[in-house]
Parts: sequence; C-alpha cells; structure tokens
Amino acid sequence: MSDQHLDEQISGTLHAVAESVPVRDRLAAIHAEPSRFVRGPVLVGAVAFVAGIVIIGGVLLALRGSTNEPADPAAPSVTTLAASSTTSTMPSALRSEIALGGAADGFGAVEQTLDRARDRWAAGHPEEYGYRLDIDCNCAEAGSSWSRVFEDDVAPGTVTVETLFNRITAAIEEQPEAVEVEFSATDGHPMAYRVTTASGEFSVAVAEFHPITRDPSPFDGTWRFVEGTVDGTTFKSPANRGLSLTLLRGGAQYPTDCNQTDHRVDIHRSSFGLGGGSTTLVGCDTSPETALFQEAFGRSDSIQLNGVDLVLGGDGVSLRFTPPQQPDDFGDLQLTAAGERLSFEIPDERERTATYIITSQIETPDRDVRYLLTAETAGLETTASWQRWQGEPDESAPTVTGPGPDTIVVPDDIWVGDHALCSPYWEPDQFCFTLRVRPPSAPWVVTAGEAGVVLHDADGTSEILSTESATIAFYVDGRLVFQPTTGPDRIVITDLADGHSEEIPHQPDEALLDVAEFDGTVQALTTHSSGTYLVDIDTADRRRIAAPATEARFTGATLILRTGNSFSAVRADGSTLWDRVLDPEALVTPDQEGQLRADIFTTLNNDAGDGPYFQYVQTELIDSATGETVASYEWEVAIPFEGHEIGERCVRSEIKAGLLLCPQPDGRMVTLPTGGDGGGSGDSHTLTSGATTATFARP
Amino acid sequence: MPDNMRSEILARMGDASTDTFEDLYRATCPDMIRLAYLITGSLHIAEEVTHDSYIAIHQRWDSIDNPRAYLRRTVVNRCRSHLRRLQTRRNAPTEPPPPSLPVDIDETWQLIQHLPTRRRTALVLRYYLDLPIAEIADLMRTRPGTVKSLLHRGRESLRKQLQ
Repeated sequence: MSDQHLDEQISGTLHAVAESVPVRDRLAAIHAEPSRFVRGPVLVGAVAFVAGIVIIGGVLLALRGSTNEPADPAAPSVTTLAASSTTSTMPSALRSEIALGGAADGFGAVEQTLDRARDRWAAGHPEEYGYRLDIDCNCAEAGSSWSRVFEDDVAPGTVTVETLFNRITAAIEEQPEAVEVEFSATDGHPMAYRVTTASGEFSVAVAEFHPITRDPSPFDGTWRFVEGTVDGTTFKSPANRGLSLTLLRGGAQYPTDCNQTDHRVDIHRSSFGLGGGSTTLVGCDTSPETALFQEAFGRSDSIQLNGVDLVLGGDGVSLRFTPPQQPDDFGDLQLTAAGERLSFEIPDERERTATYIITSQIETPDRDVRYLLTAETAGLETTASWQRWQGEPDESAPTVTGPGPDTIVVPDDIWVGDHALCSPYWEPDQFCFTLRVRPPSAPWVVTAGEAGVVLHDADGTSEILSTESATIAFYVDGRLVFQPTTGPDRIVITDLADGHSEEIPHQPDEALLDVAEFDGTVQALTTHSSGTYLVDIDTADRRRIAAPATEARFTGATLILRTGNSFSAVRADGSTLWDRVLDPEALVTPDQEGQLRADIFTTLNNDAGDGPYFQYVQTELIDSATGETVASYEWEVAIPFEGHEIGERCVRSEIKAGLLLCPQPDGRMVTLPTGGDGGGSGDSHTLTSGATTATFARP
Repeated sequence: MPDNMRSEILARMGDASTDTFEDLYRATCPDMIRLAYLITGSLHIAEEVTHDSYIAIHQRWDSIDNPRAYLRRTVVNRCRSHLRRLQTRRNAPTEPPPPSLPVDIDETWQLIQHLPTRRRTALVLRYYLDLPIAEIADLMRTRPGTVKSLLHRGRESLRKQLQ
C-alpha cells in the first residue's frame, strides 16, 4: 500500500466516522454547574440549580443559555455581575446614536454605527456593570407574543454587552427586513435594538445601565483555617486535609470534605453576613470538623484582622485563619540533585494524587525526560519510590488534599538542568514546581585507558589520577581502585588524599569488574576462572559467591552477574534470587539502585530514506530483587548523533544523572541522555581519547 | 477530504474568534464530540469529556485568552485521562453499538481504535484536524520528534494490518 493510499485511507476513515457521530446539546447543563472560585465573575444573589446541587439559602434561580428567544416566559430574573479586564467609572449613557437599515437599502449605516459603538466600548468601559434587559418578541412562528425582563446585572457567558454586540452583528448577517439599533454615545453600550423579519419582530432594550464600583476589601484572598470554636468546643482542620476560605468580591468559598461550598457574603466594615449559597453533592461523609466549621461560619457576624490573621466571630463561635498563601510561592525554583529527597507544599484546597511527574526540561524543550514519582504524603502510607514514565501517569492513585509536605526522591538518572515537577493532571488542573537539577557532586566520571586514569568533573575539567594505563578504574569513597594493564595483573588502591597506594593480593588473571559500598564496606567484584569473588578492599578478605561471570555489578543490595546474555541476581551470601535471559541485542546496564535497564536501539531512516532519522529505543526496567519487568517504554534519540548501533558497541556502560555512559571500542566515549518517553537530543561527545572503560564516581 | 472541508472544521474548532461562551459552545460542540469520539472510540466518554471540558472552560472563562485553543487542548487531554482511568476500571459503562459504517471504513476504524492511545491521538490530530506537527506536539505536551515517531509507528502498524 502506497503512502498516499494509506494517508487517504486513514483520513477518509476518520472523517467518515466523525460525521457519523450523533451530537447532543447540553449547554443548559453546563450553565447549571456550580461556579468554582476563580478569577473573574462571581454569582451574586443567585445560585445555579441542577440535580446534584443543593441550595443552602437565597433565591432558587435558573441560569439559562443565552438565546435570542427565551423559551420559558415564566423563567425568573437573573442577578449576576459582569466583569471585564479594564477599569472605568463611566457614567450611565445620556446620549445615544441611532441607525436604521433594511433589506431594501442595505445595512451599511447600521454596521458603521455598530463599529463605532464597539470601538467606544472597547476604549474604556466599567470593570463591572449592571443593567436591566427588556426583551419583547412578536413572533409569528411561535404563534404568540411575549415579553421578558431580565433585571439587574449580567455576567459573561450569559448576556454581556459583548454578547449584545454579537447578537446585533448576527442579526444583520441574517439579512432581516429591518434592523434598528441605538447605542450609548458615551461608552458605546447597546441601548436598544429591534430586528424585523418576515416571521415577526424581536426587540431588546437595555435599561438602567450603571457601572458598579467596589472598594477593594482588606479581607479578599485565600485564608488558611487554623482553629475554631463552637460553644466552647475547639476544633481544627479535618485530619490530613487543609481547609481554606476564599473571600473575593462579595463571595466566599471553602471546601467541605470532598465537596465545595459557595456563599454570598455581605461585609461592611467589621460586620459579616451570610447570603445565599450552594454546595456540590459528591458522595462522602461530612467530617465533624467540617460540620463545626460550617456551623461557626454560619453563625459568624463579625470579621476583622487581628495582626496578620483573619478572625470571624459570632455568638459562641470563632474562626481564625492565617494569611493567604500566594501562588507564586509554589513556583519557586528548587535546587536539587539526583537521589536527593525533596519536600514541598501545595495549597490546602488543591486536590492531587500521591504521584508527580517530572515532565520536561523547561529551557530545553527538545530534551524531554519524564518520570512518574510516588510522593511520601502526610496521611498516606506510601513509600518514596519512582519509576520511569510508562506512557501515561496513573490518575487513579489516591486523591489527597492538605498542605503536605509531599516528599519525593529525585530519580538517580535524572538529567542535569531545569525541570517542571508537576501533578499528574493535565491542564487546567495541573500545577507545577520549577526544579533545577544540579550536576552530581564532583568527581563525576572516571575513565581508564592507555593514557591512564582520568577523573572528569561535572564542570568539564579533568584531572589525571594515574598515568599508569588501566583497563578499568573506580573512584569510591576518596579512593581510586583500578586494574593496570602493564606488568602483572594487579588491583591497585590509591588514597587520593595522600597518594598512598597499595595492592590487593590477587590471583593470576583475576579481573576487576566493579567496586562499590556494599554490605557496609567498600568491596570489589572480581572474576576468575575459579569463580566470582567479593573482595573487601580494606581487609583484602575474599569470598567466592558464584561461578565465573563475564560481567558483574552491584545494584543496591543485590549483585547482578552476567554470562553472555544470561543474567542472575545473587545476595551477599551467594544465594541466587533469580535467573533470566535477556534479548541478545539489549544493552543491559545497572540503572538506579535496585534496577537493571535493558535498551534495544533501532535506527529508523527518515521519510526520504536517505539517512538516519532517529534512533528509537525500547527500554525495559527490571527489578533486580525479583528479576521481573517493572516498566517498559519507548523513547528516541534524534540525530545528529554519533555512534549508531550503540547497543552493539558499548564496552561497559553505566547510567547516572541522566546520561548513558558508553565507551566505544575505538576509544571514544559516547554519552547519551536517557530520558523516557520523549527521548533525548542525542548529544554525544568524547570524554577522553583512548579510554576503554568509564565508571561513575561514587564519592 | 476536500481542503475546503478541512478549513471549515478548523475554522469551527479553533481559528475563528469567539466572543461568548454560548458562541463557543454552539460553534464547536459537535466537532469537539467528534474529536473526542475519534480519540476515545466511545460516544459515552466523548460526550462526558466534552461536557466536562466546557464546564471547565465556563468556570474559567474570564481568565482564558484563547478559549478555542484552550478547549481543544482540554478535550484532547481529558480524552487521554479518561482512557488511562478506564484501563484501571473493569466496570466501564456499556457502550452503545458503533455507528453503521461501510465495510472498508469500519475495518480501518477498528484497527485505528486498537492503536495505543498516543499513536491514535496523534493520527487523529494529524489526519482529522490536519494539524501541523508542531501544533500536535504542543497539544500532546510532547516534542515534535515524538509526534513524528508516533505517527510513523501508527501508520506502519496500520499499513501492516491493512495489507
């Protein structure tokens, strides 16, 4: 099948299927949803009512979708506020500009008047305003005549001034028999318009237009609840769950366990009054603390600032809150490094799961490494762990609220650079912290080769630790452990603090494989025809733990032995945990402690077929304690990239700080970013010429 | 699909100006449900996702600069979130039978539905909305190279099974 045919098949299918989808109109249900407390308009004196919403007080009203023909003449008045981005105190319109147009002589004059009015309105209009909307319809099609009056203020999403402008425009586009418009000559708002069609006449009048001015309230903002009393009973926030009160422009909102409650509040100086309100009805029990809070809130009749605290009071009740926590506090850059434990707090009212994702490097979008992290969260019995991104975050994790702190462990193989640590939700429910991951502490990488042993610091500088050529070298706990290539086989330990060197007694042809802190001491893993050995480099004690292996690594509390592509894990006492055969094409490296990583690299050509496009990598993470695959995912390395087929050419590889360290048979050292889904940039560079092995330092 | 039809869809879904929430809803709701259906393969989920997305937009209306772009992103992301959750739930709502389609269309549609979520999403955004790679990457919060990879693998998977 040709590419073109395939593309047409996919496109044709998707469009055919899309066109077959039936669609229902549910606009009215959306309008009936309770408003969250966000920047912008608030409902005043009116609440929405739908199934699932209970009215606490106030007037029971219905918000309608805005149509030109209100379908229910019995619908009650709507009292809302409108808000916009500019501030002004324009007076009510006293003068007006009128235009009339019709099908016979065109609508040019009407459109010009409309444009002028729009410009005038855009140039400066009240931040909040109100008016009464009188609607009359003599609609022949409907078979009846009716008139409607919407009183007071209007809100965006229902009938704003912008809405009226749009309706007039739409009416003109319908080419009716006649349109008559009248706009305020002062601020441009529509004052009236009448549309005459073959089926009837529809007219709208804006009466009593008035700007609404409010003095900023010193109590506006989000306040964290600290403590309250009800008839002598003292209480605090529900366990493991914070409670915040938001006051804004005459409205109040606070969480009630898994629900959310909104109220109209009247605040005048220090007096406090509660108006109508609503709450969602998600099924959960009301905690005793929440019940007490609601009672105290409902009985409060005074409000004041006590120092920096907000205090509500009333007969037998009091509620104390601390100052609002500014959202900017959460975006602060936090400096951390791989393996470090990171604690942070989020606002009380923000629900989240116990998982987070490090989504990307902020400054370098081309490099996109992702991890799914499990947080240690107050009140949840979760353990600190992480796993590489497996495609999608798990939003089914327990949902929690409260200030935390949440604690995560920064993955050991994370990239150095800026990241966004985010909750697993997508926008608009996602929130993020800025995370700057600094390089691991120097020394960073140790290479061994004919030129000797070289230590490469994170800042790009290097230092020759030994001029003696070596096959492999390690930097552990301030000591250099290496196996020279010259002379008889030896294992040399050099204390870099004083330069003192000594050799471990060895067997002929005994090869050094790894050095690390293990089982409480610094130990070397060696292999010999007689077996695989653990050697204490301080005491030179050695013990055989397994049959000869071609490769052996420390991974946490486990030793991973490799012979060909057969892998086995053994404990410190030599007992075997598991055996497993991995794909012969896989490049297997120890990842962070406790895991193995198997990468299979595949190079894909570009669309033109004239060169490599990207390398795509299938990665499998294996629990070194069980031998089971704990995650698998795909990522890619974009070109330009040197060192294709790296999986077949790596001599000895390691992963740390987001880099795959891969010595090449020709002596070059290739480093690759190891990000999960999203891949890496494919940067590679030579760490040192002539190096045959490289290890990450373990200071 | 004819170019004029693509332009029409794009104009409805993202490129035209929007003044009120009602305008946005009226102009985009059918296409959003169709988009959600193509990604999720479920009319039930598509309706719920779209409905929830409009609620989210409605509640944040005053703070959103570009409602149509925001809406499209929200629908795409919520589709993927729903699919993730469904993977962990066994009692997904009963799905009504799929609409009646010609045999060849139905066969291809079945194959598309069985693609991994991210590949299917990328294909829908590319072949239904005709979005450029960069815009798909932005919508899916990934980088362009990943989108190319997803499209490449999605297409190759379909090609193998259609042959």
